[in-house]
Amino acid sequence: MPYDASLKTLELQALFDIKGRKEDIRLYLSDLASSFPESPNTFNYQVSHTVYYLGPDHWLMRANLKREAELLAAMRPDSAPDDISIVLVSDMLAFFEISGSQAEDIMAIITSLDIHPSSFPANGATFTEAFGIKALVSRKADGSRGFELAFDRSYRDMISNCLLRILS
Amino acid sequence: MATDSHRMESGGRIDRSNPIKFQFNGKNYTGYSGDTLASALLANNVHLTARSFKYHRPRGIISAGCEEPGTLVELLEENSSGNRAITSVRIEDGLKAKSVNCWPSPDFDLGGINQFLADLLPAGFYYKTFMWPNWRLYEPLIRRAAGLAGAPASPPTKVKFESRHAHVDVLVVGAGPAGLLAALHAGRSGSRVMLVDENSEAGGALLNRKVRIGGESSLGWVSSVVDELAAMKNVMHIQSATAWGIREHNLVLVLERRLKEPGELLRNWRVRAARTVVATGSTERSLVFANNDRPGVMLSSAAQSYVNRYAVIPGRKALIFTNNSSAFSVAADLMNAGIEIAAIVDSRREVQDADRSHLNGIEILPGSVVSEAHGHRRVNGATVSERSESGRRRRIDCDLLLHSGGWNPTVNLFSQSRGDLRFDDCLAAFVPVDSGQAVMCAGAANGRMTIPEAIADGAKTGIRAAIESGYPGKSSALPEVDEDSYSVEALWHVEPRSRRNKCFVDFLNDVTVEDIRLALREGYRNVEQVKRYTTGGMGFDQGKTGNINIVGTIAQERGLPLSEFSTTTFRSPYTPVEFGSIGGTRSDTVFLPYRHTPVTSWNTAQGAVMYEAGARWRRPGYFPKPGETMQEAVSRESRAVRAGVGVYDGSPLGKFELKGRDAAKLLDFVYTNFMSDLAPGHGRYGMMLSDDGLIFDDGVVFCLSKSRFLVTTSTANAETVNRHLEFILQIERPEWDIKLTAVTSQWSNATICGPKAREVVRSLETDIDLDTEKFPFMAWRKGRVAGIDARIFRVSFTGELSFEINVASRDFDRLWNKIIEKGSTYGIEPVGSEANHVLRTEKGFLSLGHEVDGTVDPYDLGMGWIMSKKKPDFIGRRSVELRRQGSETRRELVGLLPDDPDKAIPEGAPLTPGGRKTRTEGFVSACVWSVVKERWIALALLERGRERMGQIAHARVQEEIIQAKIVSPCFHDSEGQRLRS
Repeated sequence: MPYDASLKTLELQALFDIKGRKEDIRLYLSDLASSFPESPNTFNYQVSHTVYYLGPDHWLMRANLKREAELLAAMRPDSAPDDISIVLVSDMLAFFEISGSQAEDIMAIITSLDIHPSSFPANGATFTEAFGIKALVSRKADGSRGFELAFDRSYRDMISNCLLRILS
Repeated sequence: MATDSHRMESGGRIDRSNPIKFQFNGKNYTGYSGDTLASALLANNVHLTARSFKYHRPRGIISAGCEEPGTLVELLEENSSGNRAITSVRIEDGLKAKSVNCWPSPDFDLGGINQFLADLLPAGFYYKTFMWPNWRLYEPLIRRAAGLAGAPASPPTKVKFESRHAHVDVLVVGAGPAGLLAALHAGRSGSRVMLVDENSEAGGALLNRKVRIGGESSLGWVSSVVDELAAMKNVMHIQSATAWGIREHNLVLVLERRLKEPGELLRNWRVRAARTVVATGSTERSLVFANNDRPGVMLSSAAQSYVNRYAVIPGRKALIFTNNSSAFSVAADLMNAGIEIAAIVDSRREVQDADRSHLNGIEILPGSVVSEAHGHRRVNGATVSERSESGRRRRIDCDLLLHSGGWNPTVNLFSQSRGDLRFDDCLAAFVPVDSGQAVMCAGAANGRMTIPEAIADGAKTGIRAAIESGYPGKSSALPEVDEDSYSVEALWHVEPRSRRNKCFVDFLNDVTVEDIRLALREGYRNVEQVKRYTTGGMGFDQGKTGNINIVGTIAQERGLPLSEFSTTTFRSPYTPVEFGSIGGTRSDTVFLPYRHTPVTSWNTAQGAVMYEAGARWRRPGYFPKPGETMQEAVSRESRAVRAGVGVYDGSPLGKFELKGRDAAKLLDFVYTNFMSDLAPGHGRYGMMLSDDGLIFDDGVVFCLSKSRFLVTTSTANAETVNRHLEFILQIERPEWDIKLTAVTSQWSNATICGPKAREVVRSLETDIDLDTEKFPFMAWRKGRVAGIDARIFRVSFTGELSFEINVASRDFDRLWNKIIEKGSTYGIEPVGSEANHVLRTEKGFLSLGHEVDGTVDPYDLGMGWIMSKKKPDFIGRRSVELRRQGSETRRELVGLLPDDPDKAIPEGAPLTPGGRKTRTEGFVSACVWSVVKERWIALALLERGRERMGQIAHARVQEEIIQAKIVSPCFHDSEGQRLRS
């Protein structure tokens, strides 16, 4: 300590929790569904948005907050068929970004997740625990060295406090 | 300042260019970088370093490693830490340490009087003597007299703590010859390897010995292996890292002590390993003879370590007592360092030529034992006795008495992992047999006691670990090693000439051979019982050097072979571990998690008294104004809601969206009443039961559309309800088509409540029609409030007209500020959870943790109406019905009015018949100062409470009995007109 790593608190992101069978979602969302990743616990990054595959029939679409209204209009959660659930959850998660040559060391302190590339690939994303709290952990979407963590927004101040203590 | 008179001019692994000043027991000394506190003190000719735990006998340094049973020290000030083995403390500038177990110092210790009372203090003395009238009477005094170091009063300022995780294919514990070869071969296979070792540098036993490996000095060979490991990206190698525990699924706990400037970093690793190789070497055990605890009596390997590794002369004239061959190479190294060898006393009848070849001109006494050490504060000689019938004795002078009872494979980790051990007659030690997890032993830890054997075993085990982890194992040529041999003949203790001469089997807890015999006479037959009776092996060192002697003595006394015995359980931690390293950075302000709502900072800025209110949420308890007491503030807030208007932050309430064809079916299954008939725009209060028919949670369900619902839960139970629903969906009813999404933090909620609530909401400007006819109680509407998209729910927890305005959390502070601004015209008050407690108590509304304590069903709370008679089934129904068919007396919710209206009854106070000291018939679940009754009121759960309306209940509060009249639990607006208004 201190580590060669930096912490960035990210702005609010547009987030949609999507549940349902992939075929059904494809039918309903058509083009938007083409960006869904094939492997569980991975994400598919596109310039316009990113889709995380987080569990059986469970997806999370993320985009810049500016696109929230546009995506909301395109996905029409209120009109989705009964077998698909689309819920706007932009305010649920607070995102943090950890980057730098020792980002892995910071991750080893805060989460028990195995982040070795053989276990957690370049497009890895999963719900796990960090600081003992449920967290969405992923590698940085743009491919640069580092990680992103998302926690329930109510924990934002506490997580920020924890991370700063480690980094300081 | 003491002189550095016992330091060799050259050699050792210390940095003579870096002298270090430190303090021990208030005196100043100098050592060198690389020294331990033990080696530095010996170099300063300090041998009396401690007093013993029970008898306060003079004690010195016995070992050179973590097994040290002789001296514990307390580190002071910036490095504060208690009960550290003196051999495990590395010196640094400014280090201050002191002995434990003595006052004022080990040289003159008042507790030393215990030595004269020793005959009165056998094992079991405390158990037998301090029974009457009560052990608690004596305990504080005895504990104080025991005198180990206390916990530091404050955290050490120079020490930083960290806890971190690691995942590897192969974890190798120990960087001695076997561990290095295991790591090397596993690393070469490409597997992810982590090598940890408790010493400050790699080499293990090689650091203390002088042998040649691969044609070069052993340490040169170690250095080349370390270099190769360092070049492998798949290998992580950490020194000064002790594997102190192993848990299920190969989770190994490793404490790393990393020196940093200034101070030290203590890092606790939680290593999840596919395979663990235990290459922890072996531990030399002590020999048991009279006065074997005198300062200057030392394990022979320790002396070898001090000479070779630290360049310290621990004594000028050494007498060596052994039952095995390893002590002969020690004698050779000591001679090379200029130490005179008085003699080698070998309990074996014959000494092999190979052993003799190490030494020329040294007197070797086979078939002899040291029967007694002489000297008090420092050994000055020993009586040597022949084991023949003649038993001839002679005294040999010395200032250093070394002993070696043979070597035990260090199997602590292996045993912790549930591996089995068996007694090996050849080694006279317990060796590993079957492992309980993916843990394998290598080298001396596996009973391969010579260096060539250890190297071969290490390489083989490393390859096997790699293959079992899915990597190709590659074998390679092994280095040539000097011939080495090891033989031992068990000797568990030497009989003293007089019983007054104590022969210690456990130095730290002052346990003697006589104590073992006493335990056996008392009927304690097996090792576990004897351990508990005598406390042998229960000290900080966990009996690393002496436990085997206890087992051996028991076997000998009972006339049974050792193979019929087992060891006691090896427990973690292997060596003491600081709590701070386990907690890591989770201390101080982040010791416990906490959650904030978007207006937490607003609340604190208003001076709210904040505390946790379930599920880690920090909420305002009340908002005191200058000069106000808590009660005054709470009453003011409560009156505002009853007479005017208040607002509280209801954001922590649990919220879930349910969607799917079977969503209504699930709701009917988990709630006691019907939910499937809810129409969009409407909601209903519901209660969830556990399988055993007890109230689990309550909340409100709103129908968003035909197949979509919003479920609210209590704050504290939100996560539990989430798990409950997921369990049903994933395990019990996987065929149901339902999607569950938690949205607690998506929506933040400001609840405006009170007779003027409607006016305040209107003042915020909304497109929602707020008239009762259009927007009745238990309905919800979607629209805009204060220019923000919102959902408003008409629910009431306070019993007053209420509007719960839910907006996206990002907009919440904007809404909140607007409410405060517009509401000020109506005298709006922010309301904390204390006032909420008052308001709901006046209404008799239930609260989890108060009336709902895990023992009540809806009937108990007078809410039988919520139990549907029409639904075919729901969770908990059968249990409630079965219970209701029985004759069990139930506690029922009632109200209480204390006879003295100004008398509060503490919440939780027991209710007993007539206030007598007898079985309780209930308890007070809530007691508040009612702003509508202008007196104290209470809720209680009382046996047959509803039958006893008008009678008197009695609360027992310490010596006082408070009488209260039993009344209806609703004290305000029993018709519910206000909340429906």
